[in-house]
Amino acid sequence: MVEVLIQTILRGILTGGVYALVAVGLTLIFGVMDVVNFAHGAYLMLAMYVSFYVWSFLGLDPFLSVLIVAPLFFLFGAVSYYLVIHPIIDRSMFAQIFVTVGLIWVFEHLALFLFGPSPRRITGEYGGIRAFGMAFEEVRLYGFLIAVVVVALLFLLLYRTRLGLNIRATSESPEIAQLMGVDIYRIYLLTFAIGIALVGAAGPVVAQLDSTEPTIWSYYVLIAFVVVVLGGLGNVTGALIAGPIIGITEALASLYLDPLLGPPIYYVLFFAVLVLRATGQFEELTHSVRTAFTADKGGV
Amino acid sequence: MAVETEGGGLSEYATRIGEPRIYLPIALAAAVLFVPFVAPGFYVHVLILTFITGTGAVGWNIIGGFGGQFSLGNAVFLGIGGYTTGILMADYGITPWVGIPIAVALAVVAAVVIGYPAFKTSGHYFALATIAVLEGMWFLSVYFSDLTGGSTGYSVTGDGGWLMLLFDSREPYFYLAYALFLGSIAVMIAIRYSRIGYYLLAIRENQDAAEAVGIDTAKYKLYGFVISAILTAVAGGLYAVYINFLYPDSMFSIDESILYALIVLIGGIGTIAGPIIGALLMVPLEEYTTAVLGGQYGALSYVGYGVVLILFIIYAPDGLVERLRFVGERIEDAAPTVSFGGDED
Repeated sequence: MVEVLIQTILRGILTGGVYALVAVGLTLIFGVMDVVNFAHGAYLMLAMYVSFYVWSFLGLDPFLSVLIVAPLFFLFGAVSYYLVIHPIIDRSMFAQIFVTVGLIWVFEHLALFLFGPSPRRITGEYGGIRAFGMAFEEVRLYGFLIAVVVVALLFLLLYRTRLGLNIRATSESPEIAQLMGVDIYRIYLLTFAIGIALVGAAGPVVAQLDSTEPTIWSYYVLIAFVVVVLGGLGNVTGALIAGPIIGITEALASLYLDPLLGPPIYYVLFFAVLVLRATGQFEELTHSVRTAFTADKGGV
Repeated sequence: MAVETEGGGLSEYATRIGEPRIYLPIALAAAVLFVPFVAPGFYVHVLILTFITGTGAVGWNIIGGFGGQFSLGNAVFLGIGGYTTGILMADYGITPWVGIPIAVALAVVAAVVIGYPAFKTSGHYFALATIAVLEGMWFLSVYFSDLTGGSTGYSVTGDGGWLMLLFDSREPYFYLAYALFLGSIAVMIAIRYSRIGYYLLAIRENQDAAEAVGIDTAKYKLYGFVISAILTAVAGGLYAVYINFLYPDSMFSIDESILYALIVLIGGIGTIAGPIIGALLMVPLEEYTTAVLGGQYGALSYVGYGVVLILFIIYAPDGLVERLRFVGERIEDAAPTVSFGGDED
């Protein structure tokens, strides 16, 4: 029984890594541009379709297709930025919500028009492996590893390059960055493109874990938002911790209750964190937890 | 968006009945009563759906348009209205005349339970909180399949006739749906020119300023949310008896929630005419293209809508009503002002 529990938790962590990969682009875009991209899940849905067709037409290994889908979505993100995000970047929040919600509407119905409502899925490429006396699904394991590699690359970009420095400066204060000679609209363009490339990288992974259909975006956009809100909006490291928390919650709910009850449980958690953050009580709570721990250490 | 503070109220409208901008819409509304006599059944069906969806859009306009609170969860109330009415009817033999009021009561409770905490957040976060509630309800309605039939759906059955509101013909539904739509418009107008309406507009323009002049913003946002929940729940109840088949994807539907917002946007956010014009445009065109060209082209027409909407937000954020104001003014100039009684000497 303990073995089942450990295996379930490990499975949750692996899935959670994939969730973090889905969410990290969303949090990057929010952190730097202060734009909440409601269409993030819809971009993922399109990336899943592209991955499916790359796999079924070209016969390419789905994990290898990350190398095609991610650059493609970098371009897609850049084009989206030019056409729809740039015109509203300095506009009211209401306009921003409407534009990104409008994008969902366009993407979902475009997918319905092009591919129809029936679900598709990349199957039969990978099976299971046994390690340490436990069974793992290869798809989840490799998906997790891809998430780790991609997020590591993002960190290198953000903390080891001049572009990363400019992105972080813009995120801190667009006005000051601009005064220092940073072309902030170029940074916004690149940030949006990178954010969409990140969700593009998640496409081939998620397309193996779940069915691809036009309405799947709503499930994943909420996962992404839950991860981002738990981890702190704009906080990339936070997303890496929150992803596995959601994955474990979901895995445990499936084990002990019902797979259908996982999402409602973490939606309640999400709702509570949203409200507590709005009233400032979440920060108080985490602060008091932190001081309690440090006080313990001080005592020893 | 300028806040119109002059004129107003249903009684004000009544005293200005002689003006073209009042009597022309009323004449048009009266003419619609004759549609079932002259139009083929399909058009009647499309109009019924337009009225039901339009009622939801009117509800959204109260909290989203007047109050500026971007709810993406309003379909929760559609689902509560539909499932409550349908389950009470098919499983317990309770007439919708009782079932819909019970559904409305549940929707009010839900609106308070959701709204009270959710209105502590604002902007994006409110939209996120409401979308989470809606998706949560979707999962629960699939999970509690003993009650709702789960993802395979739920058939609403009962005896035919006015008691159970089940008819073989479309005409009774047409008049019920039309009465609901007109009623919801009347509620919207009444709210717009009431204390609640003015406070909601103040909150939309600047919540901190509204708070500073002493408006209990949390309370009035909750009032707006509850009213929009009531209208949407009645629409759900009528949907249940008209369509007779409920399933989670059509009731707790994120698409429906988004549609309400888009209808209001294309017509004109926060205006009286906005949700009416938006609904009359969007629902028939989608139904028509779906019926004539098939579901895939119905989807394509929605793609076109979405693109137009995004262009609207970027280039014409005031919506169609503002753009078409000149048309209305021209018609108004052409139509005579009629006076009743008054100066008879």
